[in-house]
Amino acid sequence: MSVKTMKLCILGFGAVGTGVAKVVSMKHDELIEKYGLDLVITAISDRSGAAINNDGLDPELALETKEKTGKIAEYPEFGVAGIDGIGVLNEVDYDCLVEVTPTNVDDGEPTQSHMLKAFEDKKHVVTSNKGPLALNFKTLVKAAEDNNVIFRYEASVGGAMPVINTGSESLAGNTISSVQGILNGTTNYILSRMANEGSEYESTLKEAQELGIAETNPYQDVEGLDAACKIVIIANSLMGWDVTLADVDRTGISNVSSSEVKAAVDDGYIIKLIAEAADGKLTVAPMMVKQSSPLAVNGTLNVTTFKTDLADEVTVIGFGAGSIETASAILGDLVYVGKHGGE
Amino acid sequence: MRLKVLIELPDTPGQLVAILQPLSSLGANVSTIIHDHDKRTADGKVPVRLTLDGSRDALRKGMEVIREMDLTIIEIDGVLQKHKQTLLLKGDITTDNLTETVNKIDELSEVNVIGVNLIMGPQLDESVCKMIIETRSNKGNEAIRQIKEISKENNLFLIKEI
Repeated sequence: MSVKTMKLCILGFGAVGTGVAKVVSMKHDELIEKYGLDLVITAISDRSGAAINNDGLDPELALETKEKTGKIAEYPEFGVAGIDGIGVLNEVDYDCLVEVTPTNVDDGEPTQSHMLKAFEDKKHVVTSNKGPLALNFKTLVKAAEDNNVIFRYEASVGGAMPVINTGSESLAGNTISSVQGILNGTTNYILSRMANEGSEYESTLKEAQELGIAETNPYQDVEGLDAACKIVIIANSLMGWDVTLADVDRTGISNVSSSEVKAAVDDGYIIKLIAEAADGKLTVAPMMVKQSSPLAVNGTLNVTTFKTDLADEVTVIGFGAGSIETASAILGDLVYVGKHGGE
Repeated sequence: MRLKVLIELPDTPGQLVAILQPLSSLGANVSTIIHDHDKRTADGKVPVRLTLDGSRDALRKGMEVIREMDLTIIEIDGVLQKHKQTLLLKGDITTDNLTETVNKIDELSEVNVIGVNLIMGPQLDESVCKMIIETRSNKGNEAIRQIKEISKENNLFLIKEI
């Protein structure tokens, strides 16, 4: 089997970016053996700057540098302090951009500029970044098409849970009439604990923060913004809708009290933060789910049910966050790009 | 395949013919028709039991035709077509507000409130009203949309069932 080298530029070296470096290192030989795909990281950037070597960086050394100093710019010999994402893209030789900088749901920047520049430079893009996808989906997809490059974003919805590729490939030919799901692990953890322990919202949120499941600023999760971004991406990419974040009727979970959770549990229900695309409407709100429903998954799990014309209902479950889990979805997309992206 | 359907028809001439004609043109054969005149509904409709034979597709389309004529399908093969949903309402659950909300919901044309259960919390604003409503199976979403508006008007936080 001939071996094809694909050079990766990783923008963003937080939880997801380091996860990508880990799995690229961990699976390097296996990918060559199985798919004839040699993944080489030529650039990694974070807030401090970047490490750039067109002959390939050592992922293990990059991870070690990041862990010890917190700065990828400290990478021996090839570290570049202060360079920004666009600067890196101008400098580096790469085939595929892995865009995993922090999500910005206000204007999608700087991610959107990174991706548009990569498309213009005829590079493929794989991302986990929800912000620009939820704000300007059509623009990004069109830019990729106009430049005849591949754009994959499985990791932007539901982490390791295969939603986008299940909908677009495994269910190809089906018309998806509605999608319902739990698309945020943090809120699912909180609501599951409230149901199982009878605890109050505030104390459960605090517990989740102590465990590192909820962020110090939990706004995007608990107010349903994260789930809203994801349902927008699903509706645009799998259902052919033309919607943005502003179209979502959104209610978070901070209003849910233990008395409601108990009232639901007493009748065989459980309250979940459900994201729904149905009847032309996008909704994120706490809803009651039968405890026997496939949607009633516990802990930080995510779940998505597609209603289709041919396959009827199809449900996928998986971990929606986590460094390695999200990197798994990115790796799947990278293998796809490697197989279909030409030379 | 064969399907047994219970529908409600207004008791005026021509109602039955109006549904038999489209059913037969779809290829669904009506093998029995039983009028339950003695089970006339409160609003004067007559329950009619039909047994239909035909392909799955013809029968499915037949059900759509009946629904499009705005006729109520009560049962298909013994399965009730009316839809029950449980709702939770939270917020200012004072007697006046609750009574007003329940009345408004009950006045919606497609919704019957069939049960209300008040669960008192440690604070009044943590009390929860559990309501069970019944709608026609195809009117559930519209009913919820209207109930959501009523809840908002009355400063109540609604959690619906899916």
